[in-house]
This record gives sequence, C-alpha cells and structure tokens, in this order.
Amino acid sequence: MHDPSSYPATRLAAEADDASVIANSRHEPEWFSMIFDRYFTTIHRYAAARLGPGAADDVAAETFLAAFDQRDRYDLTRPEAKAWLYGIATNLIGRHRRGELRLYRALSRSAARDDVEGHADRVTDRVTAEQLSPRLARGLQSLSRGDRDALMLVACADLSYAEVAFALDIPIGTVSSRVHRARTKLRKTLGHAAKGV
Amino acid sequence: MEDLQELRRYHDALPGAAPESIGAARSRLAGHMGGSRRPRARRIRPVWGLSLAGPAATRRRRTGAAAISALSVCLAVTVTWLAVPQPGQRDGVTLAVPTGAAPTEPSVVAKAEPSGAGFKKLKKKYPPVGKIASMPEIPIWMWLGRPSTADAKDVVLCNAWDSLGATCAGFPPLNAKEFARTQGSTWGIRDPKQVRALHPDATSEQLRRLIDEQERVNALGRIFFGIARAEVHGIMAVTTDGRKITGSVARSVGAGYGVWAVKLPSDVTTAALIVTDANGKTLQRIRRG
Repeated sequence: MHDPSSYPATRLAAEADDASVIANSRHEPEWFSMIFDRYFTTIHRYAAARLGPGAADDVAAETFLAAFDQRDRYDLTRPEAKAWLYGIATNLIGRHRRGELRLYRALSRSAARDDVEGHADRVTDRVTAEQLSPRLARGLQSLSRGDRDALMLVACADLSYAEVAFALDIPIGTVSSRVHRARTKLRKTLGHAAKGV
Repeated sequence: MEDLQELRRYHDALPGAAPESIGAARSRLAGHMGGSRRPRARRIRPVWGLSLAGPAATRRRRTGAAAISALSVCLAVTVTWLAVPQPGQRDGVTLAVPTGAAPTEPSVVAKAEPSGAGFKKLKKKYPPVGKIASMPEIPIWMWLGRPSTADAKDVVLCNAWDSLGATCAGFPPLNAKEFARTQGSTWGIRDPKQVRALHPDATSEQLRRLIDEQERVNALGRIFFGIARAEVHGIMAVTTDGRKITGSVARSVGAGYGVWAVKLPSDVTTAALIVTDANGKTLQRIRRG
C-alpha cells in the first residue's frame, strides 16, 4: 500500500524491530509510520471488539497519535511494541466506558445463535451477527473495568500475563488475580462450574 | 477455556479495518507528525505518496477519508422489481420501494415471506411490532421484533433471507447525531480458517458443507442492512472506486424505526453510505458502511 522508497534510506527498515524503529523516530518522526503499518489493523480489531466498529476508527487512530507523542518514553529494551500499543488503546477505551457497556447491553439482548436451525442458517447467522452470545455479553458487562481490561487483553489480544502487566502498568500477580476473577464470574454467568486457573 | 475461546472467536471474526479507515488514520498521523515540535525535526519527507512541502505544509492537517472520485455510475443492484409503485401494506407485509432510477425490467410480485425454517422460528420468538419489510430486489426481509415474554421491553432487528435463514439482534438506540446505522452484513467470513474458528467442533464433512454454504452466500454479493429514523428516505453506497449503488429503504416498519439494505457486488469496497431525506439532502454519511 505504501511506496517503500519513501522510507528513510539510512536503515534497512524492513528488518528493524519495533524498538529500533521507535528509536529512529525520535529524530526522524516519519519512521513512526512503520509502527502504524505493523499494528493499526490489529489495534483496530481489538478496539472494535470492545467498542464496536463505529468507535474503533477513532480509538485506533488516536492510539497511534498518543503513541507517537509518547515515543520518547518507550522502553527501548522491549523489542516489540505490541503490548505498549495495546496498553495505550486500553487506556483510550477506558474513556469510552459507557459506550462499551452500551455495546454489551445491546449484545446481551440479542437472539442467541442457536435460535436458528440448520447449518446454512447458522452460517448466515454467524456472518451477520459477528457477536458474542448474550450470556457472555452480560458477563462482560458485569465485570469491573480492570478485570475486563485484563481478560480482553489475554483473550482477544493474546498477550501473556507479563505483557498485560506491562501494558496496564500493574504487577503480574494482579493480572493473574484479575483474569482469574473475571473468568470465575463469566463461568458463573455461563452456568459452568468454577475451575481453578 | 470455552469463555476465552468464544471471546477469541468473536474478536477474530470481526472484519478488519476498512481501507478508508486506514487511510484516514494515516492522514491524521501524518498531520500529527508534521506538527511535531521536536526541535530537531526536519522537513517531513514524502510519506505514503503525500507531498508536504515547505513550512506551511508542516502545519497542514489532513482530515477525512480517502478522496472519492466525482465520477458516479448508478448500478442496478436489483434484479426484480415490485409490482406496486408506492410502499403499502399487503397482508401485513410492507413493500419497500428501491430509491434511485426507475426500473426497466418487468415487474415481479414480491414473495410474501421467506420459506426458511429459521425465519418461521424467529418470527414466532420475536413477533413483529409493526410490519415485515420485504425487499425482493436485495433480497431480504426485515422487521422489528419484541421477544414474546411478558417483561420484554426492547426491540430487536430481525432479518431473513429466502433459504439462508434468519437472525435477530438487539441494538443501542440511535443517538442524537445518527439518522441511520449499519447493523450487519452478510459477508463476514472470507476464508476457511475463520469458518473453522467459529465451528471448532464440526467434523470435516460438516466443515466442508459450511464452507460451501459460505461461498454460496458470498457469491450473492454483500448485503449491508440496518435501522433508520423516520425521516430517512434514501440510502446509497459509495464505493472506493467511485461507483454509487442505490439501496432500499422501508420507512415506519416498527417501533419508530425504518430499515434499509444495500447490496454490493462481491468485488467492491464501500467507502461510505449516504443517508438522505425526502428531498435527497444528505442527512448522514456513514463511513465504511
């Protein structure tokens, strides 16, 4: 989508890790466009999962604006910027808390997919709904913000507990507690027996 | 693990960012980088083909989505047209009039209701609070339903296709700035991996049938649909290559809402949906569709 010749010619941009790119961007801001190219769609999908597609555009865009502003503070010992960006996105999502809860409320009122019969119907249902089961949506709605943040970063962003700890700037033990508490609550909502982590 | 798996499936099944969203975000970042106050920031060299020249350019802000060509060709999405020229009620079925150019094909009487078992089941579970809107030119049937339980308050938007089933889903009310909203589309799954992710317990044979069915759905083109306020009379999709594709609106379907649908060929990408009033004036522009 972009012209590689527009990148600064001083480095082999394609092989540079995120930390190198961010380090370069401190003196040559246009390097930061590489971070955008690498992660925008990923961050957008995460924001859409939490806020819906409408708000995801703005939140995803603002994530990179904020990241650009904060690039001087990025820990260059971390080669991958994924957790850092998810942390910024999660913080911005927190400002849309009402919108997130509204989304889950709406999803919790929707018909269950198993209302529809037949494989063909189920396929059509899936492609149009692209949504959670009502019970799981209700469960997410009932979680505290901190527990939901940790759970969604593990489940949707596929971050490790250590990465979540970095993203949310909390101890790793706290991540474990929050995820365990969130899952216990969700299991109760879903009607499963509580299990240990 | 089922809770985590469902969350992951939900996340993975979401459509990716549309090209126009990516372009708009790139523009914002480019403008933001250009305004960077770092003392050693040099003149911004061209990025992504954007040409910024001179000090004035570094303060310039680019906003908005990708430019849309001024050229427009009204494509006929519909295959069959309704027998009646105006929306009316026939046996509880509201017939939607496609907005746009007058048809040239012979008129065809609209089918009253879809034949699928899924439609019958959901219509019983979420009885219409008003009418069932039939849009044979898409084709799609839509209604606003309310669960048949005593304490049900909120309505759901239901949509059905002739033999592909039906779905119903709740939605947040339109906010003050919204005249319409996209509530769904029919082409969310594009590759076998996603189908597998959504049906982890399916056998190989079941998966093959699901994928075949998905390809059949995809071949019909992509249908966007949603809700609209009463003052909405028209809807049109503008594609990234400048085409304008007229959709259908059914007004006053139920619970104070109208419904709309627009069908796109499978090879086009929507840049925006334009929502208009009775005079054709733009009420809202929905990016991405």
